[in-house]
Amino acid sequence: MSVTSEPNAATTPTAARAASDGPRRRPIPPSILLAIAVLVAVAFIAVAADWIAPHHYATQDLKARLKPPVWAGGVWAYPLGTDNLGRDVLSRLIYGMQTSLGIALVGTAIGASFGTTLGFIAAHMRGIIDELLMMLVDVQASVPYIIVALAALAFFGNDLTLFVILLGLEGWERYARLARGLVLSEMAKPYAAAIAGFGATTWRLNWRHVLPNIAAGLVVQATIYFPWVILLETSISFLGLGIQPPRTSLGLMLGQGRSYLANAAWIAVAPGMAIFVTTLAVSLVGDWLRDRLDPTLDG
Amino acid sequence: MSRLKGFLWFLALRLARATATLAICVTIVFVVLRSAGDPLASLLPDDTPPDVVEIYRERFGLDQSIWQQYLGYLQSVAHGDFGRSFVHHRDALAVVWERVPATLELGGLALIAAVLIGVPLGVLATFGRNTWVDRAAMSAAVFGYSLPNFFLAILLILWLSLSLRLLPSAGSDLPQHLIMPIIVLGAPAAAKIARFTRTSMVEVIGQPFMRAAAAKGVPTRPRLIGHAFPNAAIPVVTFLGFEIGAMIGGGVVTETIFAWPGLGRLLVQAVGQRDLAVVQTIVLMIAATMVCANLLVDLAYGWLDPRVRVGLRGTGK
Repeated sequence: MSVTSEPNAATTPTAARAASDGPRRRPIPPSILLAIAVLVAVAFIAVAADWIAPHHYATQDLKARLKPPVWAGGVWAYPLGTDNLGRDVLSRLIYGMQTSLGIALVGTAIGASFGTTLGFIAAHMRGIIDELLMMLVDVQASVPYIIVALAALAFFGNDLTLFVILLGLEGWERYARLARGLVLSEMAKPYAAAIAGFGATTWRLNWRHVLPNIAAGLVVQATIYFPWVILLETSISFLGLGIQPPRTSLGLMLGQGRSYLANAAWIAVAPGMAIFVTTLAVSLVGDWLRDRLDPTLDG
Repeated sequence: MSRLKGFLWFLALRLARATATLAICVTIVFVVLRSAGDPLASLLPDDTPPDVVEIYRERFGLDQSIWQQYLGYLQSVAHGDFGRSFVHHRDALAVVWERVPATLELGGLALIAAVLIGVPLGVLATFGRNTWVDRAAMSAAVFGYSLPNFFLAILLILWLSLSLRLLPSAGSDLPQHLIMPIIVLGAPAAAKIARFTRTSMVEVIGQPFMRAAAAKGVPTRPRLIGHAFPNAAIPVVTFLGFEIGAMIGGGVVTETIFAWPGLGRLLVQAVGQRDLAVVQTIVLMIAATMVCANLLVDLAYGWLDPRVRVGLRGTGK
């Protein structure tokens, strides 16, 4: 990323800007631009749900049950139609996005910080603790996580906090493994020895120097696995075992719409499309970021 | 002789690791079960007299120390005793065991279909590397795993069952009932296998022996199929081991949507009813299956690629 690697960089303002974008100065492909635009729109919808949703997600209008979308003979009051209880599908979609994305974001943050911390610990305390942690990683990787999450929900009872923590713990082992490897390779570099030689504490060395250096890799990892967290949340909510009514999520909406496929398919198709478009956009951006940053960095 | 010794070491190490993983799984389930609350609170009514509670406490061994309880738990698990299902009023293992054949049937067929479609697609993509064939195959792969399985299932039901009226939407009596679940379970797996096969092929094509084969004058097609593919197939076998886990996970949603009477649907029902005996039986059974699958993959890997077992000890000449 340094300007010195570009011979003519910084001669003009535009060149300097191009250089700061990345070493290769490759233009962003249109599909990625589109994906980024979709993500910005989705994020805006999720954040501004209270202001843009025409109705509240739980408001029922029993006289307007199962109304079709506008283009199928519906009314503008309910642009995407209504569900079996006369609730506005568009409004529920907007609030569902807020729930699903918010939960996935918090979950990813929990998993990334927990896993990264363990990765740091494993990298520094070689020997038995390292072995134990890596064994735990193997155990976690050996049972499909949705099974673990469902079992935990059965054992402890459904609860929103538990659910979010469970989503976060999905994939902690990937962050732990990645962080451990990255920390080990950073510690082998001369700068780490130099900083340690200046008398910096281990804490300061890791927090102020190693972490910023490996942050890019961790952020890319988080972007790539963000869709997995969305899919886990929507799958479990779809099964009726995650987010509980009256709260709503994209998966729960889809699960509830399943019973009305024959005469009111829009209830299920709208949230399904929202999930698909969002996860596809995040995946595309994540893959692109990874290729740009380091093509060898793979899951 | 030393070669055999090397292999035995390899086998012993892998077996020890598999046993340790399984032991950790059982321990975690025990810890979670004990920390999830007093098991008697859910079994006995709230107004049970304390002396009756005490009798039950003794009967279930809950008055013993936690280590004695742990040993007792290990013993009962080793005997296949996972407790009684209070929903089905039967032995939990018997309830779970009945559902295994349906899951094996669906999962096995889906895995076979995924391999038969994914591997040729991945190889085909390397033939026309960086052409439209490659790009089309790889875009299909990206779409394949961005489409959540439950949404794919609903689209299929809308299209094939409700619109074209070709297939029944749910059930398990006819062979037609299998088609949509196999697609839903197999399509993401096929997409991942195709992508992985391509990556593996591209890696092998860059090896020096492939250049040697080209220099020797081996034509493209035999070179890719006869020389590159057997080498590229080894990592794909490992990948299939991981894929079994993904299939078990995907089976939970797929079986529930299509009312397929397998383990996944039973798990969802048991979680909803908090039938803990059934839940823990399924979790331990899946853990055991996965550990065995990983062990088999490791062994197959060592068998297919001698470098693995030699490299492990460094002396196995």
